[in-house]
Amino acid sequence: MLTTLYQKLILKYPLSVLIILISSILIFGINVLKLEIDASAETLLLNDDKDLAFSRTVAKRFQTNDLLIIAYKPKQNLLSPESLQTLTRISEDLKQLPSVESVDSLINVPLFFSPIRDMDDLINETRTLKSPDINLSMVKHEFLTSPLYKDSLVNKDFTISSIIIHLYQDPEYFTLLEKRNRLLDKQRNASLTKKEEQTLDEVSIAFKEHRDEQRILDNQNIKEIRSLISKYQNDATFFLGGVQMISNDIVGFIKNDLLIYGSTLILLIILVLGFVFKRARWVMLPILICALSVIAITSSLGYFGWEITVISSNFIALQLIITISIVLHLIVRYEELLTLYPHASSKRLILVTMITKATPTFFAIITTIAGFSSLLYSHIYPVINLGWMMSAGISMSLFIAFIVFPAVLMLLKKRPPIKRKRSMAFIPSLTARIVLHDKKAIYIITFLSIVFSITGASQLIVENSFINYFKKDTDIYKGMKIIDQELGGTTPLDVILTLSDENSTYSPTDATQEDTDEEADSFEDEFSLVENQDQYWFTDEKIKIIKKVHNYLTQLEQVGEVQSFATLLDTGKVLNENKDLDSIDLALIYKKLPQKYRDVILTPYVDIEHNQLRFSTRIVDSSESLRRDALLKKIKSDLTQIIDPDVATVQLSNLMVLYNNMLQSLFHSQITMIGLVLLIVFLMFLLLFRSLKLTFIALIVNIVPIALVFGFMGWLHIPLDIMTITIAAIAMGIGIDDTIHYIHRFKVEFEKDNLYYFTMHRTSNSIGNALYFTTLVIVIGFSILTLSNLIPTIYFGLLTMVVMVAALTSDMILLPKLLLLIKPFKKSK
Amino acid sequence: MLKKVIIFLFLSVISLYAVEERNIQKVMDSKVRQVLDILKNKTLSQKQKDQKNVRIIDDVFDYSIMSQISLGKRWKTLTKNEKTQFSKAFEQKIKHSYLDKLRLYNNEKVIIKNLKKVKTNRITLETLVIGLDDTYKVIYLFYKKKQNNQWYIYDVELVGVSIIQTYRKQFSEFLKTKTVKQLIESL
Repeated sequence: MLTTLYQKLILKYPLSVLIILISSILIFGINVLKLEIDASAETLLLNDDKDLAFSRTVAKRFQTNDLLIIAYKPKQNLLSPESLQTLTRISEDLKQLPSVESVDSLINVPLFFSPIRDMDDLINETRTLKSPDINLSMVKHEFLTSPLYKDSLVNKDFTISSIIIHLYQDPEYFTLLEKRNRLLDKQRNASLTKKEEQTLDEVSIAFKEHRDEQRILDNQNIKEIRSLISKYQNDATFFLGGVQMISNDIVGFIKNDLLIYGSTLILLIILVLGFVFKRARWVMLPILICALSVIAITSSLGYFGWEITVISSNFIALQLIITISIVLHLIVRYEELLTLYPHASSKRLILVTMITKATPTFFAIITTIAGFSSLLYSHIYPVINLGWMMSAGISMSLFIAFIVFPAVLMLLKKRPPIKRKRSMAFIPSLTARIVLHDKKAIYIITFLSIVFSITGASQLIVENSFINYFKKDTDIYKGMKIIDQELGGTTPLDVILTLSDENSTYSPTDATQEDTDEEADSFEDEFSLVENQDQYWFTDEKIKIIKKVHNYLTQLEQVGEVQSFATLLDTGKVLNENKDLDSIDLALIYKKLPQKYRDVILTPYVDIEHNQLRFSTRIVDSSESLRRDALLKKIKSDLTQIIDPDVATVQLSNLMVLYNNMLQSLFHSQITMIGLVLLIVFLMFLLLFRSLKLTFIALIVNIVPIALVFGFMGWLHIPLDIMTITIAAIAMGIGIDDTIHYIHRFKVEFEKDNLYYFTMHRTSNSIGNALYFTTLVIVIGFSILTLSNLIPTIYFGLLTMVVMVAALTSDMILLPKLLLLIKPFKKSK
Repeated sequence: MLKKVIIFLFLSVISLYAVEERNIQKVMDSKVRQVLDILKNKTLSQKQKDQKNVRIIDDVFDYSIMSQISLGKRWKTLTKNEKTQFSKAFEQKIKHSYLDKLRLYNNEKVIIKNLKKVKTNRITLETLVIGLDDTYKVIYLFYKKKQNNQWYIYDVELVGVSIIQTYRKQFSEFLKTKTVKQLIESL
């Protein structure tokens, strides 16, 4: 059928086919403009994460706003008139920005201990640095020692202070999100009515539109803040930090990488192709096919509204690898046929090229899709999307390559084959020599590789450190590090205690008859009526728990700033002549405290209605000893030990938990799926080769380079994170292609003389060239990614290079060695 | 504010001997004045002040009923011995707390207002603590003891906070996970 299709359509009407294909891709390509990049925290969260719903509830209940933090390091003393003047001016400027709700800094935070005053005075008159008669040495002491400010508003050396920018909350975002999620839940559990379906569509569109608008505003806001602080660079050094800024900068870096490294990568590939093949057509054709494939897939993404995220940002590079590999195999095969049959007609050569490469390429692509399909079983949209993107992208590449390659060649004149210099093709023949003469060396190296892989993989850690996404010389890294280490940490983690509502274990049957008297009962009725009023919520038992949890969190090395109701208790203690506030004091304070103070010191930490307490912390992301999953488990387990489960239950919340859930889920799904994918690949090999021996050989040959990648990651201390964790799928995708091409060719060559020795030589010298050129082009091309500012991109480039070289070595040395050793092919008569 | 409110609370929680209804205001006025004088007396040591003040208040508070209310229904499950022990411990707690807060006294003025009979056996007495910037309301809650038809303080409510209710809530939480014996020890 394929032969007929080529003979009657593609090779017969090459120009028309090309015009139709290219113009439809270009017309559809207009959708590229709709392609969006989203690196917000939201994209990294699990779809069905219960902790996500809980974190949203917590954010709503405790009214926590998004923050941006500027680390301010003036050239003079922090409290010098010049420094304070700059701080005043910058704070005023920041307040003018539309997204900024309020700004807190040294100049406007309330001073409680400078000097210590009666609480009445404190409430009636809030003293700040701007108040008259301020004693600066007292103020400095307060900032350095106050539980409210030390190590978060100022650093220990009193050289850097934070400017905290409170951003406006976006209630519409949550309203739309909740409405959409409610309908989605209903859709999952029961069918929706037509009206509800329509509402779901409308809400989904409205939510996306609103989020897109918001993203532009957020980006604009960060830009404005940056340009604003740049005006003051002569007076001080500023570093901007905060979760929103991290995602904003990642988007910036991704866009930059796509533009600079994407184009440089293509340029490098052109150069290498030119160097290897020395023919314009063999440069233009791969580039044309790659460009068409990339346009087709990106415009499809734009059309269907799929966004590029941190995780899927490398999909274009990945698609380039696979597309180039397809085209190079076609080129090498065509050149080979041309050398063998120089007088054959162009049409015949092209037809044979396409037909002989169709089966291995088809299977190579199908197995690559199987490799990427492991990503579909994660619960994270961007990762699932990457799986779909790659599957769709490489299918498109296969389709486009198998139309464009023959059609263009039909339009070009047949040229004599290239006489390649020996230096260019020495590797395939070298590997053939190694296979024949270095038996022991191959086994020893394979054994050592396995040992290296196992020992390396055992050192692998699953971590996702945002600070380590950036190079040490970037501004964002420097800023994050200062905020992280000097001003209280980066990633927010909330510890939520839900206190038990149950009454005491007392049972009325315990009462002794003699004590039931009328007077006591009347008191009981009188007091029961008011016992649930809010002011009685602050009991000594609760205070003890709050202090215990707060102190526990404070002593954890990886936890930076800790703010909770205990901070207020500590502040109150200082004001109360160093005596702890008891439950009566707190009930009184609660009753008399004006709402504006309640909102600041109570609402973020205490929810009386739901009997919950919040301990807000920031994790020191740059701490080398930080093992996120272990830390979260430790906190949970320790707190469960510290607090009686009958009294309160502990839940962890906020981004730290969500990122960790995502990463753990990804890791576990990858570990589980790698087995399943190997099984699928095994079945495919079996279907393709119809030989159990060959199938096992092919599997072993692929497992070695994959293991080697994990070995490298372990030994180089590259953590498995949201980016690098996809490398197994990539390794599988690339490695399998080479194996299929090699074995397929070996089988064809073996049928000629049934002699393994000569078959191996012929195979390595023919298909080996295609594998070698593909590896060469991709390794040199991808080396450019190691210059990126985004560390995940560097790792991606580096690991892809390792995968390519390992897969090539395995397929060119281990595979033929095993074929010669096991002799899986039946001799034909 | 806190200091003033607390001081005032304990200033006035002071000493009402078991009184007849018509004498409540008068006795209150006198006792408050006595305590204020003691507090202002610079010749007395803190320990002496504490001792004198305790003497003034000692038999006006019905510590027994206060203990009973503070434990709520749980009171009925206590043995006689436990009840005695708890009442003793609670009395000490209230006194200690009172003396502790009394040290914060800072020359505020106290005005005693009218009595209000809320039930046949309940009376409230409203008083005002007047500071420089603000005035705080403190209400004394009296009940009539059946056995002798005299009035005793069973609770004080300041700025809307009932002292006994605060303890009730606290003890109820404590007893969720611990025993009465532990509660007595903690007091």
